[in-house]
Amino acid sequence: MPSESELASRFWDRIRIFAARRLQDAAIAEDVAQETLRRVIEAVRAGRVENPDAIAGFVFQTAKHICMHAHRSAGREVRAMQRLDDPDESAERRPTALDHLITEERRVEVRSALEVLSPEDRELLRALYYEQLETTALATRLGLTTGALRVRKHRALQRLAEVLDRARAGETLSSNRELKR
Amino acid sequence: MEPTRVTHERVEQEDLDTRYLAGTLSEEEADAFEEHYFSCDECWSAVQLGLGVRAAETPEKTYPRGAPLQVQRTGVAPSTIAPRRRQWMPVALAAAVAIMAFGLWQWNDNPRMRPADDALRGPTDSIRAVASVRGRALVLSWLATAGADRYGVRLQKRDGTIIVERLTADTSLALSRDSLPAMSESEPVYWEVRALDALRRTIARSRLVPARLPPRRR
Repeated sequence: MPSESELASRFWDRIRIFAARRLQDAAIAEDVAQETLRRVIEAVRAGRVENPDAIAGFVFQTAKHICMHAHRSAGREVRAMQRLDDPDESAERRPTALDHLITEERRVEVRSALEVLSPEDRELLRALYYEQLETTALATRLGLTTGALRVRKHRALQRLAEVLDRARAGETLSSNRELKR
Repeated sequence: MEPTRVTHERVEQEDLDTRYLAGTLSEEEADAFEEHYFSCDECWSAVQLGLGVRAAETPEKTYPRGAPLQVQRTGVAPSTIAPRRRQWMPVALAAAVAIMAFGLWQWNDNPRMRPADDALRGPTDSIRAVASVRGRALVLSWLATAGADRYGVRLQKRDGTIIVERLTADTSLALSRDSLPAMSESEPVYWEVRALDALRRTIARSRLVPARLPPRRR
């Protein structure tokens, strides 16, 4: 069975993203993550989850259950307030609660990493995730089969992850040096 | 797509990860994909990277901001509500009263589920924290909280945008100025620290502590 800190680090962001999409509120999503982990860890301590392979499913079901209750009380409120707040912002892609979970630091990291990628990789990722083009439409635009496009997407994501990992490792080193001065 | 039984192969063949982020899956499909990424690290990584790309490519002017009401609630910077939004305040207030009345009725129906109150977020201003600058590092130090397993620390802009988020077992955190995103030195930033117990519950939190960014290396 994973340790409690492993459980927290593995599932914290997963639950936050999951709850933010459902409830459209980043702060409440954080509350759901807290409450979910509390219940999961208590269940593990009490021996109610014995199979380590079942832990992901148990976390998911617990989070889903908590979200269903939270949806009744908080979600409606939030959406009603958002509609009042932003009556005229329908022209552009509306930011979602998922976007609120991305820190400024992460945004800058990814932007820098994208600049290191080839223009082809960057355009592909931009089209998929920012323009949100369907795979078939993008494949047509690029003159590729959908299969070839999926392979390129997979490789582009892999390269992006590698650049981010390298940057994070280098940044930690330089940050430590800076603080020791 | 049949909503049940999402496998990794199926995610790739049907582009479920990109369609999930684009919001074009049905509720049942999204639900099944979410259940899958709880156990699939590769799909989870794709979701995280996709979100990062979307944020990175979004132009500055349309980038979504955090929740300025969070700042207002602690009394540090009530002026962070944009003027356009103030025009809606009377209507919003009336709606909020009606919704809260309905919400209270709902809570009575189910008193165990109160997700957004201090019971979960911890009482505000129960951690004493001090911000300072050492060289080119921005530092926050705070007094230890009894029962805290670790501390969640955030540096935020006035509009609620989270600049940096860290988890630490220490009672101070230093961030090198050069590791922070490019920002004007005159732009105020705010620290917030929350004490978390072993179950990751927030047991105490600080008020928002204002800070100034030190100059970047020239």
